[in-house]
Amino acid sequence: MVKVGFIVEGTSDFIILKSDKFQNFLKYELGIESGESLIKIARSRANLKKNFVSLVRNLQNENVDYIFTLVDQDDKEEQRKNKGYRPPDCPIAIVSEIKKFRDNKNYIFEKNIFIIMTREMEAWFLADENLGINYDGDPDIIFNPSDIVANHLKTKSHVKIANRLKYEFSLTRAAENSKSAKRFLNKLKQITNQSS
Amino acid sequence: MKEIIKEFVDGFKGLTKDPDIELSDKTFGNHSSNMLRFKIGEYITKFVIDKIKLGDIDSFLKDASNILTKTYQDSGLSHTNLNYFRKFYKKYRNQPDLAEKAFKLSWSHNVALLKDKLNDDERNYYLNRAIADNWSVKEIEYQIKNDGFDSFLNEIEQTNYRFNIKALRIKNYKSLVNINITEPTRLLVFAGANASGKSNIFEAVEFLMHSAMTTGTIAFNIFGGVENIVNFKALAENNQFLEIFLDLSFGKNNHNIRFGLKYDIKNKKLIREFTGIKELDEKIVDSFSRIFIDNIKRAENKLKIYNKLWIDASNLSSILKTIFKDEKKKEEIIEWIQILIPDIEKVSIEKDLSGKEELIVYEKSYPDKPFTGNLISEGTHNIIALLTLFYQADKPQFVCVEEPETGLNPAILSELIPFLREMTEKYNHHIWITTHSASLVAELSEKELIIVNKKNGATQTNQCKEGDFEKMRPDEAWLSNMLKGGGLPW
Repeated sequence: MVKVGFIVEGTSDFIILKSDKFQNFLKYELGIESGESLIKIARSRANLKKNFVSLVRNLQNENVDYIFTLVDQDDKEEQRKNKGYRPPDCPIAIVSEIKKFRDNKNYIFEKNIFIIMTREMEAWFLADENLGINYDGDPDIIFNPSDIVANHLKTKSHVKIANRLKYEFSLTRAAENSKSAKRFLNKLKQITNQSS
Repeated sequence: MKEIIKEFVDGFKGLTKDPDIELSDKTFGNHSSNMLRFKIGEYITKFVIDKIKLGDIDSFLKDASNILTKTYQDSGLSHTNLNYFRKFYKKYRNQPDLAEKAFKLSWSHNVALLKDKLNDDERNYYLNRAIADNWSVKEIEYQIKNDGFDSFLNEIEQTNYRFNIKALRIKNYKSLVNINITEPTRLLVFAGANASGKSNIFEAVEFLMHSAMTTGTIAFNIFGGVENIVNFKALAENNQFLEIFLDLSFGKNNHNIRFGLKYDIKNKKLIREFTGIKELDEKIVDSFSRIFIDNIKRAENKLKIYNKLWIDASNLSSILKTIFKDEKKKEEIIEWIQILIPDIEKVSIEKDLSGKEELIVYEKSYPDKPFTGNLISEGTHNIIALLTLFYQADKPQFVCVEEPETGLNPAILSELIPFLREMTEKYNHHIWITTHSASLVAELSEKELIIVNKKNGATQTNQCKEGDFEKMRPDEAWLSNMLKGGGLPW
């Protein structure tokens, strides 16, 4: 069985990935071993960059074969409007930074690190038709999918959203409508095929 | 008068065979110079007794010193020194052993030891240390000023009472199905999600202490009855034991003690167990405190010892009043309060109109309007309670503090860890705390942190090891799910 670790940005991603449903999906449908202790939470994009090496080392100590880093793309327009916007907040900059870490053989020799850019994990909730959330357009392009999900569930709490949806959400269904979800799923499938 | 002085000076000549009196440590060595000084002191004292009508001794010695200094051309015979010779004789005349030690030291060292009103034990201690450790004159003065002798006595007392916690083992106490904490650091912090069982660990130790202080199974009643204390599953299975064991090692010789209890769930029998001691002595019971400031709920029914801070710190004023009788402790406490809450000028305990003792806090900005009772801020009250806790006994304490962060600014919390570490080093306390504060965790080293989590209703503990933080800030490592056991709510 392939052992996989994850690095996510926030608590709601953590809740979805560690949920019994997702873990069972990984284990029984894809043949991937993971678990709550193998999901690390960067807690912000700036921290993701700052602590990336530590997070990876921690997973390496657990002897994972692959590491997936989920980076939120967020809404660039909104970020530009925000006066506090600075390069460390920019997902593209972060991705290129951590790619540099990843590809630098002197730093991290690990070649099995994949970076998945998502709009936000909430975009995948939109993409999962069974969750029945109304929206217009492509879930990977739409602005602020988390607001749409929040309005739908009438809550401001991301933890509450994740806790409500963790039993219903399916990555396979989301992959039907979201390119980023599909990329994630394909990559997960690919590594299991490679190993078997 | 002139005749008396002449008689004095004539008698002085007989003190030494040499025609010259040279009181120089360098030329003759400390011992013989000091012997001569002692002799001179004796001569002066006896002369003064014989010439009882001498009148003002001080002015007599002044005149005598003038003539002696001219006669012997030696500055060592100044009026001040003559007075010190008298004192020198007076202090050591009945203590030949001490005198022998004093003779070994230089005259300046001896003068430093004559300046203060020391009793024989104190003088003996300072003499011994000055000789053994080659103390400078300044060091002697510093040690006397700072009550080095008292510290020495405390040190002896502490050595007897100093203990190391080797291990804590708990089985089937509430959610603690099987907990082992081994070789904990003196400052130990338990972090974990709400309701993960952190408090149960402290409560189990408290239960152990209560059961040691009470007879039969009274402790069970105090803590809410067997069915609420014994782990639910263990109670249902009915063939297990509730166990709490604390391994301690006392003193320099590492005298190992194990004390604990075993409760046979099936036969409802409580057995107290001791290894290394016949029975539980005050050494252990006196050393334990559990504190959850202002948590009245947890203080319900608990044994309240009059001279110790109660679990909710509701007797803070009376304990602090006792501590404040010790000026040194008072000074240290006030200094800490001022460091942590700079706007506070001083703290005192005063009687209110009804005669009840009350905590009074004076702020720098309002020196005339002190704060009392409810007007004292939560944080200030907490800091004062914490300080009271650590200073309430002279002996090393095993203190369990729950959530000391309540009401405190994050910057103060960062300083709280160095403060707690100082308390463990200076007073040999063991300080265990539970916390939800990232600011507090941020200051810890790996070994000081225990992550607590609950799995399937059972509490688990994970002692962090060196390297676990992966060079990240400890709080970030904790909240990023990097530490074994997680300790996160979701």
